[in-house]
Amino acid sequence: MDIAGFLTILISVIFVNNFILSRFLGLCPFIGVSKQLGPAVSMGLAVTFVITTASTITWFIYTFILLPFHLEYLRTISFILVIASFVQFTEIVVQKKFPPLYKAFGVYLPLITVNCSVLGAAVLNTDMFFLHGKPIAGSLIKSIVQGFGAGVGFTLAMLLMAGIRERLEYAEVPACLKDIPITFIVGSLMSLAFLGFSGFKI
Amino acid sequence: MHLAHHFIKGLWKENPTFRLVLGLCPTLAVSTSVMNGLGMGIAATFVLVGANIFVSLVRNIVPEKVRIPCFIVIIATFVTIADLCMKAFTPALSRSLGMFVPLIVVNCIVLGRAEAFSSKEPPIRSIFDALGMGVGFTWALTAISAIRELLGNGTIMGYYVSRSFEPPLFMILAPGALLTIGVLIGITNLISPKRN
Amino acid sequence: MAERPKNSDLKQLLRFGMVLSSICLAATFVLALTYKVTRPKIEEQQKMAEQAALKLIMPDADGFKTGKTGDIEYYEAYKSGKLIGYCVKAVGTGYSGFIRMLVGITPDGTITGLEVLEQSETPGLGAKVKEIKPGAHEPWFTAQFAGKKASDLELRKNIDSITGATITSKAVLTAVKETIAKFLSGTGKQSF
Repeated sequence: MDIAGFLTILISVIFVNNFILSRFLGLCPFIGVSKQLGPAVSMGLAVTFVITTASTITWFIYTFILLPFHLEYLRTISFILVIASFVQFTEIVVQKKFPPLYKAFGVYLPLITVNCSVLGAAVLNTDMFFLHGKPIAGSLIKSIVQGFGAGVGFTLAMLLMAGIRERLEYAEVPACLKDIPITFIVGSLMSLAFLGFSGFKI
Repeated sequence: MHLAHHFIKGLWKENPTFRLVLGLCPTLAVSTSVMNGLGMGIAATFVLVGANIFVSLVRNIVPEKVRIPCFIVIIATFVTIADLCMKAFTPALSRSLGMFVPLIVVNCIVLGRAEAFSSKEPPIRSIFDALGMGVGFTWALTAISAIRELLGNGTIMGYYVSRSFEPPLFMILAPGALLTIGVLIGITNLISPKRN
Repeated sequence: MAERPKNSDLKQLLRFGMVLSSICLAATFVLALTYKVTRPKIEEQQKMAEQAALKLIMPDADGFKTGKTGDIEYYEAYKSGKLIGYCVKAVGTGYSGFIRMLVGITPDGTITGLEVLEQSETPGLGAKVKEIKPGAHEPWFTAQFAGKKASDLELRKNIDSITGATITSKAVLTAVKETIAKFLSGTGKQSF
């Protein structure tokens, strides 16, 4: 795999197939934690870290445990268990070793377990980078790059949304659309803008 | 009486999609056609009911600290059962829902109900609660899909309704999904305002 | 208990592990059972889908025999004992994952039909590879391939691409072209 190949994956997963705005993965935090810029970015960074690591770990599990023993049907259960334990482990380590970091990210870590984007990336990797039950060329690196890109795309969307919502606070929104509904409508417009990338020839 | 109450609250008052705003990812991703919406709703209801019965049954055995991993394992089991059964009996539906079948595991509705309700209540009540939530989720999903399929593709359940207009493609793409749910939640708020 | 926290901690940890692992064990057992029960059915469904596709792209054939050249799987299609063509499995890399197809060709390399078996393209855009227009019986995009030589295929020249889904259209076309070329050279049936 050459540099261009990685760039293609990266650009495609950040812009063209943005996890939130075009794949609908990780919408709950997108709506829930996007009221202010600070927390939104913290959440984004935490998710990026977890997705990248989870993509790596699940690749090894899929390639060396599930595939050789024909246990593909245990994919869902094993992936989610690994993600849940990894998140818990990270939480404990960060809490013990880096208290200031824990203050900034700690609250978001448990939420990440049930963030669809993490399991979504892991499942997507096994769908996209495995053919006929075998990893394709550069499969591991591609998985890691896709996981990382997914996190970056997630952070980007969170950042944009939080920026808009901070201003929306001062706008006169009809009572019934306040808060969540207007966030969806803004999200819709953002997604429309991101659709512009889909004609992108890479 | 009480049992019926647990069922009914999921339909409107605590509708998971329009009121609690949970389980959004599958709601928006698969609601491109009524068939998909209905199929996803039924699959999620199956998982909700199955998982909540078992969560409720083991609620006194499982220690507080490991309850989340335990619940997740139970939920993942039912999701995989649903996934395998769909592959075996409704392969076309399974293909069009794709990765969103395994992703029911992280549907916040399922874990949310397990945590908020079934881990504290006996099985019979949990069944009714789960059924109510499942049916509430299914009708919401079907409504969203119907709007999107009609406006974005000009069809309902795959049948052409009218050929006199060119459907705006964006309704079936991502922006249409976000717009539809935003407007629908707005309408729900208009009909019965949230009391704070 | 207060003076021996270590011991009770360990006990607690053991209990946690016991509960969690017994639940996992039960879950695995249930899943293995479900898998065993559903697997034959799933395989049968896949076979049925493939058979249906074979019938569509090689309607005249009355018997099929599987074969393999390199990493390409194919079927030989027979009509009353005479070889009338091949159905070749092709895989393209689409917008969001693989597109699995079955391509029917005559021995001289003319495409008789193309069926998309599996795809996960965007609904409304790439998923239109399977779109059937009102009044028609087969998907319009794949129908365009029939009657053309695989080596002559070219997007926008003799194949119209799907609006807004150039990548999907290209993926299908490239996969068909490359797989057929590889198949023909692999089986030594270079009959051009």
